[in-house]
Amino acid sequence: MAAATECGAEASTSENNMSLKKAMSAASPLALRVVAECPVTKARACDLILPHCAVSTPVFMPVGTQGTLKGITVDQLEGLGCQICLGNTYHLGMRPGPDLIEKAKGLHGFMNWKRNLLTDSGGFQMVSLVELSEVTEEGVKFKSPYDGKEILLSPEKSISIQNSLGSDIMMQLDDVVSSTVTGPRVEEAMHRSIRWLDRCIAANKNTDKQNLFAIIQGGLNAELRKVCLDEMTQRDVPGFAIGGLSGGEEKNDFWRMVTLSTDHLPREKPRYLMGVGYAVDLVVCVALGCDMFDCVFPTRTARFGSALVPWGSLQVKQKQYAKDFQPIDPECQCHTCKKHSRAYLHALFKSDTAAMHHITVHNIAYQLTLMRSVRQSIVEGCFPEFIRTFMKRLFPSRDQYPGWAVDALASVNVTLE
Amino acid sequence: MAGSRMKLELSRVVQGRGRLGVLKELGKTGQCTLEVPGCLLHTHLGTVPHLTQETRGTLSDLPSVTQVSLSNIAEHQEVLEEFKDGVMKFAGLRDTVLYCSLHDPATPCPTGYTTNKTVSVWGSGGRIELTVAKFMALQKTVQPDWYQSMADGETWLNNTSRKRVRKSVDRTLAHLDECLLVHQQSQELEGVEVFGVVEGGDILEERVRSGRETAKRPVAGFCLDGLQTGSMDQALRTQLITAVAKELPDDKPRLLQGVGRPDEVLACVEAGVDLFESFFPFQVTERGCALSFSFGISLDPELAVLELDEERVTSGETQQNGDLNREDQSLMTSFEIDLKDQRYKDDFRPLVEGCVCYCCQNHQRAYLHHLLVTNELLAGVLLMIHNTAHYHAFFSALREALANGQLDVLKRRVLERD
Repeated sequence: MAAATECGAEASTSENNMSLKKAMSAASPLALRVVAECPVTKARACDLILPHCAVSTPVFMPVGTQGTLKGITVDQLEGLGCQICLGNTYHLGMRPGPDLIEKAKGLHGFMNWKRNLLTDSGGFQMVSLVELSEVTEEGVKFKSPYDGKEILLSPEKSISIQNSLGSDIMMQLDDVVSSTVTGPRVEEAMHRSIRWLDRCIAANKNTDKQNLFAIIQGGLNAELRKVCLDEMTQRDVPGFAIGGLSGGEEKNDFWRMVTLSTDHLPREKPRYLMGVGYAVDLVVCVALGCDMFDCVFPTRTARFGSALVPWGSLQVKQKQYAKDFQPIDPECQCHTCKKHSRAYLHALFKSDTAAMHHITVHNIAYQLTLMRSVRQSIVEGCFPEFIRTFMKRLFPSRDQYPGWAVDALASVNVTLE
Repeated sequence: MAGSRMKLELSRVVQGRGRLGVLKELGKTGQCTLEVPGCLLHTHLGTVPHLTQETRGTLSDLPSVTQVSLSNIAEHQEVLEEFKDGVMKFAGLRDTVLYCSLHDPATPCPTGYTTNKTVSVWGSGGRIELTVAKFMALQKTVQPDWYQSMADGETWLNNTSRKRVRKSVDRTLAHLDECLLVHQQSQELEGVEVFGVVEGGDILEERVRSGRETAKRPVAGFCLDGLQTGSMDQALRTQLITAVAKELPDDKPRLLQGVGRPDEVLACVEAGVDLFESFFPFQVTERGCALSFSFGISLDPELAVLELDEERVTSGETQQNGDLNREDQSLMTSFEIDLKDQRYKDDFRPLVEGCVCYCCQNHQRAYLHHLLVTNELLAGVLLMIHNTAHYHAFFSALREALANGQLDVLKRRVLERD
């Protein structure tokens, strides 16, 4: 299949990957090789070698919250070229629980996924999903939605669950504060996150197989971010995430925090921007120096019939597509676009769940293809040109370009006509 | 002109023990065949429920005839008229024969809306009333290879009066005659074949009358309607089918609508049915269950009986019905396991040991249990794959048993949980 990229398949780099893998298995379970750097922006193309296979970055990681990617089999996911996806510690920790997953040989064994997995810490769900959660130095206290029992999610507990899940990348438990919150709580959370990082590092039982990433906090306050960056980069972790953004904050503040963070993160370690998945955001944040992204948006919106395309999105369930006999995107190589028309999918939505699965497959293909093209353009040294073409395709006219994106790109020397 | 290009070649017929053979020259190109007893592939608008072509592609040996129904199609008439190339192309299907039924056998529809001139189907937007004219207009947009004629089968409720049953027979014959008239005058339906529908409720004389009269018309085969699961017990169904079969020509296929449970299938095959609709795996999937009944028998008849006796002794393993407290206990059959049950939480075996479907080769009961408990969409996908594979393998085993004179052994194997 033309669209699929096998793990570490590029012939010229496979030898290098082998020697990296050897070095890696001796020491740490992560190795990063910077393959190309954009001379204009801060973008990089890297090979991220993880225990299950190599990952080409920049990479978009689909989210399979409960040990499944919403109606898509692991074979389909592999066929789409996905090299790493997410599982959710909070959900899986509740059901089916870490003990059962351990018995099943970890989350890989349980869902039969042979490539890489990244698990988040459960921290975000604490804030976003669960009512009456209380944060103390110990951890996050909350009531289980399933049996009402009080549970404490501490750094140690989060890492213990993630150790049982056996993910290739684990996230520290951070003190998550909404990006719209201001005041002393933000500073408190930032400092606590540093202390919790240290506790997470100490609690990791599988340092030879599982990578623990730190999460930079500090809200929208440049000073706090810098403090956090200074502190956390002193810890010996294999990678860093930029957290506390992708909430409801102003995009103008958002990009400035992203670029500030990448300015102060080490070159030789991967940068993971959490919760970002809209096409514009991905392209801009790659230009600002991020390597890894995740977001529920593409898979969630698919189930509502929203198909992502280079010129925006297409609401397949809308009446206007009932007699539209073209595929969603005539240029897309995914199975959905090669086999079915918008009209058929429109009709199918009225009688079968498979309609959702078709769109899910398409949206994952869209995201992964986008990132593949981004990477290719960085490798070929024409990323700025790619950005311009991409923006032109996505927005009908220059004055519709989002202001924040124009500013952010300008900050890394890309001017859009 | 409607006729019968399709040819039923029977290799074995034993009165009261079923017919074995091949339905040949199916489809407008006359290239397809379908072994009987067999079933059609039940779909929603050409899609096997829950499955995209990729996941459906993990299944091998699916029936060569795809079933679609007007209940899914009627609301899209305008779209299909504009599309002009029929449902098969619309759905992106290839290399299959398309059969169009009136109703979706998986979903019973409300009663009380048929009239002398109309029947109704229920789409996503509500009720759509069909006259013969509209029914035939739909067939022209669907462009099936074969379809059942319009029929009034609302006789399956308890206490349907004799008068009502008689009306259903009369109306159905009238609809058939009208359909055939339109069919013969329609160039667009050249080469398309029509099945007549035998009605008659639970009244023997009406069944015989319907069969006899329908057999006089130039149809390619016969649908047996109003006998669906839940409408009557199997003894009566067998009696009625046997009586009807006597009125029908031997060389035309009989398609029984609305019956899919393995025990009923076996009994109906013995009574003379050739074809079934394969909606049962879908129903099992929708209740979160997996088909698990055995149908494997040794080819050596002596060995087969020995195996059976042995299994009865060692049986008592976990494949039994779920808790009696379960609300939907009445719907669940003894041919399936309820994966939502706690006992499967840490059961790391495949759904069925030895099953070669994608689900059993890649996943375990514990994972399916988790997917069901957390309401994940993948549960439907994986269960549909397994249930479809299991069901069609059962039909394969059924044909093999008939070929080897081992129907009794197969029956004992399949029914041993009763």
